Amino acid sequence: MWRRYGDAVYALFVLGGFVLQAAALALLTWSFIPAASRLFPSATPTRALLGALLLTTTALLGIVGFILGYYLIGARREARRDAEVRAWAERWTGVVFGAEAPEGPLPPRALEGLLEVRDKLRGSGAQALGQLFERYWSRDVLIRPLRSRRLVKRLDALDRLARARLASTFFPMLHATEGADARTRGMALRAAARTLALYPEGPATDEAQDAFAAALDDERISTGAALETLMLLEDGCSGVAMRLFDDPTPRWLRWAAIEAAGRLERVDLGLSIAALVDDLDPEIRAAALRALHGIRMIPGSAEDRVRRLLYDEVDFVRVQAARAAELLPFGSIASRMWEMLGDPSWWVRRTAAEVVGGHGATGAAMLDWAARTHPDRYARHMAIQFLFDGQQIDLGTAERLRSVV
Amino acid sequence: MPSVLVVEDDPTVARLVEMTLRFGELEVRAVGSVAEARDLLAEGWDAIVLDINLPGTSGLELLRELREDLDVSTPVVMLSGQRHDDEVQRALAFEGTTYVTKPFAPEELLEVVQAAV
Repeated sequence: MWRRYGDAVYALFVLGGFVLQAAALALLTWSFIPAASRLFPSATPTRALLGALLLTTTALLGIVGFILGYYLIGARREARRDAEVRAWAERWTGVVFGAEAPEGPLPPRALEGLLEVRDKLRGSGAQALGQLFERYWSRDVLIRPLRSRRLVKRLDALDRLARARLASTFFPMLHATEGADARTRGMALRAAARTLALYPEGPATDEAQDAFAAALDDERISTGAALETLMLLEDGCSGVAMRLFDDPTPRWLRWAAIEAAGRLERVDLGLSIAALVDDLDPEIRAAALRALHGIRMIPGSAEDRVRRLLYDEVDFVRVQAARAAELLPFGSIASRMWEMLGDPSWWVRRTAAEVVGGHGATGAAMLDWAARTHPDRYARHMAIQFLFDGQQIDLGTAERLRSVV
Repeated sequence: MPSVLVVEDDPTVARLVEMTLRFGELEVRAVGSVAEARDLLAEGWDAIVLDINLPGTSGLELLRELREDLDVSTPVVMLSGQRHDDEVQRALAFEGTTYVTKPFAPEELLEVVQAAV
């Protein structure tokens, strides 16, 4: 009902609107009473009109009172709650740094405060707060609301679990991903991913990663949601991504795993990603090449394969191959880059120009040479445009070269 | 005792950073916005811990001001929720800048700041 900003103005607007409506209704009723009295000499219609007016006015005032009361009480309660949570967060922060822990049992706000601080920490601090949680509460406090029939309660529970990131709550969270409601499923996956990101090292991690990879393999999850979830795994991404690289993982999920590994710069997955550049699916080939570019490393065993993909039949694979080839010695790709400047695809020509241009003075000299002498006119145009965009030649030179080509 | 200016709008994170650095025997002053930080820049800090996402003027903008407009070379430790954020990469392009991701480990933050001062 309330907005983040301008709620006071909104409340006044609602109040003004209702008061005007009530006044207009009163005026209307009052003007009709004489005419109604003449038509119906008995007093019944007048009483009915006055009664209707009174009822409507009372209802309108009741609604206004409720809205304003809701606002005032809600805002005060929210402010008091926030202050209590902040005070507890401050207290738990002190405990992390050696202050004495409070005596139990503790109020619900203490749990909110603890989760607020734990959400902001990793390492020893988060570990200490995890132990404090177990000292004062059981995991059921967090898990029980997941079984609620009310969606809001389930989502609140998942929000708390995502902030708590307790290994002991991982599997119940994963269980919530099997539900029918898409919002609960998505939030449960993200909460589980955040928890898995901080999972303690050990054999239990393997089991958790297996289960998480299996939970992601659900056709109700979109590719974007899978990618976003995998990104939340951060350093814990490698174990899950490895499990998703191979068949029979569906193509969309393999793509998301490769993409996440590249974006998270998982150098430890370099060899596994390099093995995917030969995949039959061009989307997977392109994703693997983009990931290699993302981790800034092409394993020696994959260098020739990347060079071969510069000749791939699919243009977007050639684009990604050119980007990845940036990491190879320039001498080993220069002649192919020269050819690619005249590729039928504009995107490939542009990428080739960027790769060549990224190789300092040598690249600039090659582009200048291409602008003047490349046998393909589109290659000459691209080289001129790239040099002009990079302010390596002025407008006059660009126009002169263009007029020649 | 080396002094550190902390610019962070989330009160819980600001308090945690403050206590972490005090635990490492550093003198700390925490503020919640770039405007407040600007007023204190002249005080000669040994390091600045700067949240990248601040309301209004971003941490990255303050870093740019420090390095390009004011020519201040004080080491800066950026705090960011996303390690692979473009803004982090742009921040790291400025000399004397490192970063710590949120959520952070107090021991890691302390190590990075102590190395910087």
